[in-house]
Amino acid sequence: MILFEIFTLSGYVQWAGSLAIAVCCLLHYGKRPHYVKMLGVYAVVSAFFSLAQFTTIWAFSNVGVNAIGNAFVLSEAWCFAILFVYATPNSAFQKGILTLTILYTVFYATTLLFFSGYAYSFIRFGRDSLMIGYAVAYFYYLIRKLPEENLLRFPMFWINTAVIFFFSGTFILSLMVDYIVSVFGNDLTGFWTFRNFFRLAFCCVLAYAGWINLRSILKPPS
Amino acid sequence: MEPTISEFTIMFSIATIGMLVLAIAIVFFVLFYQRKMLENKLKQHRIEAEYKQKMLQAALESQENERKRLAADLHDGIGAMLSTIRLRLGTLARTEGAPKENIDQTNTMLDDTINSVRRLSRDLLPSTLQKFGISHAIKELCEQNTLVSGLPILFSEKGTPQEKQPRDQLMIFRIVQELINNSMKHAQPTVIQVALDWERNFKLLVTDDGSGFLVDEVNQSSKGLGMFNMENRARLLNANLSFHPIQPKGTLAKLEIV
Repeated sequence: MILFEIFTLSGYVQWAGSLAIAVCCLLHYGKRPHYVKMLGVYAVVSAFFSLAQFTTIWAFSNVGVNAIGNAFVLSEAWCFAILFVYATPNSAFQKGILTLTILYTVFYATTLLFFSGYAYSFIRFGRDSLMIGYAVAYFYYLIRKLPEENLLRFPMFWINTAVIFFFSGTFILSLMVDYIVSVFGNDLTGFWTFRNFFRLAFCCVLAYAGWINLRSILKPPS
Repeated sequence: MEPTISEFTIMFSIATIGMLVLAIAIVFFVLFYQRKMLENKLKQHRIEAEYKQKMLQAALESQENERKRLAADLHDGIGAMLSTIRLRLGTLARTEGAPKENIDQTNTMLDDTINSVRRLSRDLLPSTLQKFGISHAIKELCEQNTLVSGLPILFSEKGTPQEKQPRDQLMIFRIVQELINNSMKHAQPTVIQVALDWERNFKLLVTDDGSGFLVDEVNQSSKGLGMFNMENRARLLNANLSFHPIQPKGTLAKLEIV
């Protein structure tokens, strides 16, 4: 029971993390660069889907909670794809990102329709692979572009770091989730609790990126 | 046979840690690579700046050497010949009995020419600078320009003059020359003041009550050659050269060696 309570707490805590990102990224919306605005949109989408899942848990006895989670996976992929498109003003990169995301969408639909038994793992594994790929590609773009500013003050560096850490950390879990459910049943709770707290750290780093950007707008460097 | 939950947890943890270590490695690689590349870029800029400085120094030295040669040629060659011509003319006038008026006129023209050659030679290479130092050279420059132009150019000095490299003294002298010439040519002042301040860092202050020509030129995107040379000389001296408008009208040019 204690594990279940911690799991429930982790769900609320990661929802709070989404709200923190939204606050840090959406204040002074008009003055923000597009990629920060997109991060704010992602935070709102994430909070919305989390709320939808809580509602199904509270009011509908978990009916549809997995479908909501699956829908969020596709939304998350598109949110980050658009964020990376805004962050890399290089048309080759942008076209590559959009093409891969469209291909992922086709893969997503195909998996849900024809391989529903493994859909939970496959769509998450696909999303994680895509996110890791975008993050590595963005780091490569950063090395080529070689900005002169301190990278630690660059919001996109932190966003990218958060993406590569989180999706690398949940990569194995995403791949194995259907296996864990089929072999270990409710033991998934422990793994998913770890994932939720890891997601909280992910949200904190994204919120920090939004805050760095907010600070640079409110107090422009001399 | 399926693994137990603990075996699976261990394998899962190892794989996840492996992925995280890879992610950390990528992030640190990017951070260190960027820092290294920036250091290399800065180093390259520094080398380029040093090279440009050396080229500039060489160009200015070449200019000064050329001036030295011209000064010597003017003084020793043309100046000497003109003096000889004057002497012979004087001798001819006494022996041949030519009209005194014509002789006097020719002598005056020759005197004017000899004085012009001497002035040119002095402007090209001030011997006072080499013999007596920067303070005397600038004081003499002010007095000569006052004599020639009729415009009062006042010299003042504060503190004890310090020894400076001959190259640095020449640079400072050229800057003062350029500032006085610019002021007289373009600003139409009624008075120019040149002050040397030797207390702490060396400071040169040239003020005029003219139209503020120099401040306008500094603010323009395309500067004249004189201004360009002054800035280059200031850079070689590791000095700051700045121009400020003064009230009610005029310009203060300040050269401060840091």
